[in-house]
Formats: sequence, structure tokens, C-alpha cells
Amino acid sequence: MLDQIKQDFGSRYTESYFERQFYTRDLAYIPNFLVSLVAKPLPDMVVRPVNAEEVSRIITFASENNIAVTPRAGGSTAVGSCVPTKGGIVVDLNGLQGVISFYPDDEKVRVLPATTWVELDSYLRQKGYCVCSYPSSINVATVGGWLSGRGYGMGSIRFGSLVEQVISLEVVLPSGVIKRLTRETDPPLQWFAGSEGTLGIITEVELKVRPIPETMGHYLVVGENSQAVLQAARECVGELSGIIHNMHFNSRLLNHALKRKGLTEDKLGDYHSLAIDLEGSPVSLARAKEFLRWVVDKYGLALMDPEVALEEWEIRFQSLRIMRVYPCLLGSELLIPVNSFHNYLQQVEALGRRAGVEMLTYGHIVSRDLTIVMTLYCSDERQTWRYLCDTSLMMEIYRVGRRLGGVPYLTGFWNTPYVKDIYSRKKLRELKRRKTLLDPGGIMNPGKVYGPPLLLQPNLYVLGMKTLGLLRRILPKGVQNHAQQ
Amino acid sequence: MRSSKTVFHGLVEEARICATCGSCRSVCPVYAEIGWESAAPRGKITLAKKIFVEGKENFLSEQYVKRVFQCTLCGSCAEVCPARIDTRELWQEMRQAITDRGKAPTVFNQIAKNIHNNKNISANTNDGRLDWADDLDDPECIEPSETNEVGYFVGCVASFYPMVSEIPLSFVNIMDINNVKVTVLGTEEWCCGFPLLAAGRNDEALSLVEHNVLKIGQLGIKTLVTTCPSCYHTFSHHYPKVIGKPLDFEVVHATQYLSYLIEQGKLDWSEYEELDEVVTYHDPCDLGRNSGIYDAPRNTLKNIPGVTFVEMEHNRENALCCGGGGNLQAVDPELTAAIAESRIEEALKTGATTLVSACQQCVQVLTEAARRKKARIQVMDINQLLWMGWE
Ligand SMILES: Cc1cc2nc3c(=O)[nH]c(=O)nc-3n(C[C@H](O)[C@H](O)[C@H](O)COP(=O)(O)OP(=O)(O)OC[C@H]3O[C@@H](n4cnc5c(N)ncnc54)[C@H](O)[C@@H]3O)c2cc1C
Ligand code: SF4
Ligand code: SF4
Repeated sequence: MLDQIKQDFGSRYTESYFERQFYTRDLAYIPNFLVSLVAKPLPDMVVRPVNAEEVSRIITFASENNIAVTPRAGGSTAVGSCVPTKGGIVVDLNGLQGVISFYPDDEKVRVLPATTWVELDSYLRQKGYCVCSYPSSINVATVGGWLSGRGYGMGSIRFGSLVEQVISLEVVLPSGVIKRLTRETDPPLQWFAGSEGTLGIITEVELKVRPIPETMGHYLVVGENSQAVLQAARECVGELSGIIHNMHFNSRLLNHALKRKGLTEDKLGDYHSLAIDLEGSPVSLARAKEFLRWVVDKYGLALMDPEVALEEWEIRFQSLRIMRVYPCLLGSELLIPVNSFHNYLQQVEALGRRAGVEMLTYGHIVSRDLTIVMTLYCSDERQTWRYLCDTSLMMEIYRVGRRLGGVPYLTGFWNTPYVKDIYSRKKLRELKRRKTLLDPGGIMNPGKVYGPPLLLQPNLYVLGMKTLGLLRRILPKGVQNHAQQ
Repeated sequence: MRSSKTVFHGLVEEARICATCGSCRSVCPVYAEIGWESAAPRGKITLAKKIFVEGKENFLSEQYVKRVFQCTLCGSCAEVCPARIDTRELWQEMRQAITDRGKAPTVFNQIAKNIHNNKNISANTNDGRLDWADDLDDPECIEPSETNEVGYFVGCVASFYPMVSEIPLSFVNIMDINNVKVTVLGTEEWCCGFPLLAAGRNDEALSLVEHNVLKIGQLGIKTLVTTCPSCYHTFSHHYPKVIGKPLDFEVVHATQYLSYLIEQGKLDWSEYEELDEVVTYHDPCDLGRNSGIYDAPRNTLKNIPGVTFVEMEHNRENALCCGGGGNLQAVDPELTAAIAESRIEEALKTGATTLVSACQQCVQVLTEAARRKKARIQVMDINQLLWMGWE
């Protein structure tokens, strides 16, 4: 059967080492020797199907031969979600791209799963419509990839996480069966949201879209006191949630670091900032502006010039420009309650001061209650031991977050030690039940989501990280951070 | 200038800065055709980290070199890079680093040899630089005179390849009929150096740059017009860096010059025979994304009597590449052909009768792609279209 697959896929099948090596990582850089202790990230083969039938053929083959299957689309996560842990087959889904049909009257669209958000949105905009929400990795993230994660991003305050906009899915189940799912089917489509490719492969998504909003308004609130800025944020989400498109917080340390390299407005460098992007009718925006002025006064904050606010909006997808300040960054991404954000920031920055690193934090407020928070700090991948020791701080950041009700944003492979924190006991039991039901052979994206491998069991993991933390204190400093610059 | 604020601080630093986020992957025309991650800009930088940052030279395999040179230098990757890496510069420096190690594709040796011997990319001596001008109504109109305010840098392809000689002919005819004097350098025009820069042979381009700057200065040219976007980009971006100071003359692309003449009311439309064409415009990468010139060609087209202008789905900074840039055609002609065919498909969707570009290389590869696909669309340069009404 493998011969048949090779023949059918022709140049879309490879066993070449040269080609396979590119599928052994995502954004996260982890030294090879360490990865090889816990996983086998090099796939044995990579295939690039172009339709659901082809996906089904591969999965059927894998299922019959008990071979691991790792779905991969944009490859833009950083927790190893799309990297194999047991070799096997990487199914590169990027051949399943494009809009299948658009129904303007019903305000919905059917797309292939590897369509990027930018392609879908540009397509719709030429017709007077747009997507409801999208991740800030819009240029690379795919519809299927984002749905397979938590699906929070810009537009989520108004429209919720992506699954709330999904009407139906076509999926290839681990048995190879192609099935259309709705909220009412068995299984329902919701099972696939956040499943990180562990239940099957999504081959089509039908989702709600909307007319392009009449107007947009961009505001940038700044202040020296993070508590005041974040309280203002909460008040705005409460009052304006129906017209907020995006709400993004940058800590003063982050703005200052960006300023040092001329990567942000000079004026911003001394403040915490909150970008608020509104959408709606001119009347609702005018009212919102009055409200914003009132909030800004109430908390002793200031509104930046409109040009600066507009510039921040225009560069909203360029969070990675921070790499120009520190070319090697480590960090943790958490989902934390909005009302814990201020405490988190204080504690994580205090952790940074103790550890002698500058903790750079930004956050997307994605609902009345939740913020996706990213905290980054500098390391140096060229000094392997230094780098490894620095990873110990990722756990420390996470512990700060956990004390305040936070959990890792995605699980993937590298966050499996935290799985019991991410899900309640009951929820985890339910997730495992679904997995066993749909994928009894455990071929779909093994090693992800449900639990860690032996060496990443929480006790061992914590011990390992603590040891690295201790080593970090005694190792020569290497490239230093610039907390005081 | 590029619409995004890209920066370049050398191959090693920028390769480290790359977060391997993959935003560049989705817009790369080469990746779109080949489909393997190794062909995506992200993939190429992933190995560059190993080779040029970590010094693991064993990763510099033949397959990798092939991938690095399978690139049109279209700059789409730079346009979307959230870390603001000027990837176009990065590819050129990477090519240079590979050339320095003696591992560049041998096909470039012939191009470099031609340029070295003939001062142009063809196999012909530079004496034939002005052969195309024999077909002008008045071949002498481009000879140097007392005042040579405006110079026309024809470029190697337009000078030596008859398939596209209509471009300089049209441009000069338009100038002539509107009484605008332009002067050419004739046999003193040497290759601008772009093919060498793109091949990773920066050092070899130095003498060409120095020669051209000297000759342009000697003629007293104040404004240098090019019909080739790559010549334009090389003059405006690389020449000042190479000679270490701003140029003494202004460099403009023909579309900018035409747009300026139109705005100044210097084109005489009284004898112009109205066209009847639905036209779509293909932004050449070196003119659009890499130089930021989007409006001048559009202004020109919209002012041509009888032209109905329609945009393709991907236009301006998002325009798809034609596949002909970055010496790709020399390295992998099939890949160029495949990319060009995708662009033709998009042009056909607009319902246009004519696909116009502002670059002899785009015109050449798109014409061939249209022919292969038996597409009912004519491909031409903007100068050819404009000249049609006066012809
Ligand atoms: C600069 C930057 C900004 C980001 N911003 C956000 C943000 O705002 N919100 C956010 O949630 N994330 C964000 N991310 C993380 C990431 O980009 C997103 O989670 C993205 O949606 C992942 O999509 P992808 O196509 O890259 O998927 P991949 O990384 O290829 O895969 C992700 C997971 O989905 C699975 N998968 C992919 N496609 C399918 C399919 N068709 N069927 C089944 N399983 C599939 C994979 O197996 C894997 O488990 C950001 C990343 C970067 C670099
Ligand atoms: S977009 Fe920029 S940072 Fe992202 S992978 Fe490409 S070059 Fe690297
Ligand atoms: S310059 Fe163009 S062809 Fe080259 S890697 Fe970038 S996007 Fe691809």
C-alpha cells in the first residue's frame, strides 16, 4: 500500500532527509540532544495531499499500519503542536488552500483548512465582507490550524473564540472516514476545536463572516501606572465590548526596549500602553470616544496622538520586531483572568529583577474575563548550557501565572507537563474519552495534549527545571539582559 | 521604498533574528510552486542559521544551494516579515556567501563571463548596444547633444534581445513625438551590475558601477530614466552604497517620468488615436514592492485615452511575481514558467484584453506564459501601449 501511496502522490511524497529535516521544529528552538531524549521529531515521510480523499487514503494507511500521523499547516505555534514525537507521517496540509464558496446573503463561507487568514480576509474584503476574528499571526496561521488551537485573537471580544463562528466542518477521522460535522452530529464539531490535530484532520470549514464595519477608530491610552491602565482596560471592555475589535496591552519595559532600537514612537517608551481599536457606526464610535476620554481622565491616563495610535494599528502584526532588540528570546504564553493581569505583571517583573533579566510582557484582551499574555526574556542560543538554564525561567513565569488563575495558552507537546492544570480532572477525563473513542490506535498526533512522556512527568519536569534554575545562578552570565537600560 | 520598514544588519544577525514564524512562506511564489518547506523563505533561513550562524558547513549541500538560488528576489517575504528583516538583502548576501565558498550554480559563470568580456549580459560585444535604435524613425534623436539633461539607460535585455526591443523604441518614440530630448550612453552604457549582484558577485559589479557613474557625469545628465525596474532599483539603491555617496543625478523609472510629463501637460494628445482596451497592470517586483512605485504606472494608464483599467486580485505590494526576477530564469526556467502561468491565470480572471507591465523581463516571461496557455490576452510594456495611439 505504501508503494501505491508513493505512486499516487508522486512528487508530493518524500522520504528525502533534506526535505524531512524542515518538519522537525516549529518556532521554538530546543537543542537536538534534548529533544531526542523525549521525542523523535524527524518524520519518516512527508506527504502533501490536495483533497480530503487523499487525506483519507493516508490516514487509512497509517491506521492499518499503526503509524503516527502529524498534521501540519502554517507551523506557527511554539509548543511543538505540529512536530512529530514518534516520527511517522507528517501530513503537510498546505495543498488544501482556498475559498470553496462564499454565500454573501447568508454571510458565510466554505474554505479549505490551510487557507491563511490573510488570504481569506483579502478575498472577502474585495466583496465588501471580512472575517469576524483572526490571530495576530494572520499571514501564516491557517483556518484549520487556529481552530485546532484555542482560536482567540483580534475580534474575539466581540465574536468569541473561533469555534463560535464555525457552522460545520468536514473532517477525516482516524479510521479514514470522511465525515461532515455540525453542532448536532455525533461527534459534534466542537470536539475538534482545540484538539490540536489529535482527533483527525479538518479538511473543510464553514464559517460565519460579516460585512466590513462602517468605520474604525484607533486609540492609544498610556500611563505610568499599569494598574490604572489595566483598570481602564477592564472598564472599556465592560462598556464597549460590542464595538471593540482589538485591545492590546504593552508593558513599559517592552515599550522601552522597543524604543531603544527605534522600533516604537519615542513618546511611548516611558509608558505602559493600551491600544484600543473600535469598529462600528460613526455614531457609536463618537459615543465611545467620549467614554474613552472619561475613562482616561478617571484613571489619570493620557491619550496618544491619533497618528501614533494609527501607526500602532498598522504594525499590529509585527510583535516579532522585538527580535531586533534581542535576537534570542524565550518566554511563556498564558491565558489569565483580566483582573489578575496587573498582579501578574508586577510579580513577573519582580521575578525578572531577581533573575537579572528584563521581562517583556504584552497581552491581548480576548474577552471580558480573559487575556492572552506573553512574557519574553532574552537568552542566547549560541551558548547551549546558558540557554538551557534560561529555560528554567519559563516554568517560573508559568508558576506566577498559575497562582493568579492562569494556564498555558496551548498545550502541544512542551506544555504537557501542565496538562492537569490546564484542564480540570473531569474535563481531562472527557477529552481522553473522546480520544479513545475516535482514535483507539492513538495514531493522530501522539504525544500531544493528553499527558506528558515519562521524562516530562510533572515531578521529573519540575526537578529538572529547578536544577537548571540552580545551575543558572552559578553559570557565568554570558549575554546579559539590560534590565536597567 | 518598501511599505514595511525593513532593516538589514548582515546575514548572521538577521538569520538569528528570524523567528521562523513562517509569515514569509505564504507569500513566496517559489514555495507556492514547489510546495516543500525547504523552498519557503523560512526553510532557507532555518538552514542558514546552522550554516552561517553556527558554522555547520556540512549543511551547505547542493540541494540547499539549489533552493537558495530558486528565488526571484521578488521581496514579498520582506513585505510581510513581522521581524522587519529585509529578506531581499538577506538572499543577496547569502548568495554572495555561497559564491565565496565556490558553491554557486555554474550557470552564473557564463553570465559573469559575458559581462566581464562584453560589458553586457549577452554573448554579443557592446558595439551592438544601439542596434535596436536602427528601427527608430530618427535614430539620431538619442545622440548626445549640447544639453543632455535627460539620459535614458536602456539596459542589457532591451538593448540586445529583439523580442523586447519594442520597449526602448516605444519609449524613445514617445519622447521624440512629444519633443522631449533624451540621450543614451550608447556603447558607453555598461551592464548596471544587477545580474552580478543577484548572482552573489558584488565585487565584480564594482567596475561597472564606477564606469556608468563616470560616463553619466561626463554627459552632464541630470535625470536618468530607465525602462528596466532592476536597473532602476540597482541605480537608486545599490549605486549610492557602492560609491559611498549620493548620486549626482536623479534616477527615475520611465513610468514616473511619463506620469510627470502627463501631470505637466507635456504630452500632446491632439493627434492621439483613442485606444479600446481593458487593461490590467502587473507590478514588477523591483518597481513596486522593492522600490515603492505603484501610483506612477497607474496614473499613466488611467490617463491614456480609451483605456479601461482593472486591478488583479493581488496588486501593488501584494502583487504576485512573474517568476522572471533574481536570475531564476537562468537557474530554473521551468520554475519561472510555472510562476508566470499562475500570474496569467490571475490576469485572465479580470477579463482584461491587455496585460501591461513596466519591465522587459516581466513582459518576456508573461508573453511566453500566455502563449503556452493559449490565453486570449496580449502582454506588453506600458510604453508599447502608450505608443500605440501615436503610432
Ligand atoms: C507572531 C505570532 C502571533 C500569534 N498570534 C496568535 C493569536 O493571536 N492567537 C492564537 O491563537 N495564536 C497565535 N499564534 C500562534 C499560532 O500562529 C496560531 O495558533 C495558529 O492558528 C496556528 O495555525 P497554523 O496554521 O500555523 O497551525 P500549525 O502550527 O501548523 O498547527 C497547529 C496545530 O493544529 C493542528 N492542525 C493544523 N491544521 C490542522 C487541520 N487542518 N486539521 C487538524 N489539525 C490541524 C496541528 O497538528 C497542530 O497541532 C501566533 C504566533 C505568532 C508567531
Ligand atoms: S517572516 Fe521574517 S521572521 Fe518570519 S520566518 Fe520569514 S524571515 Fe523569519
Ligand atoms: S524574494 Fe520572493 S521568491 Fe525569494 S524567498 Fe522571498 S518571496 Fe520567495
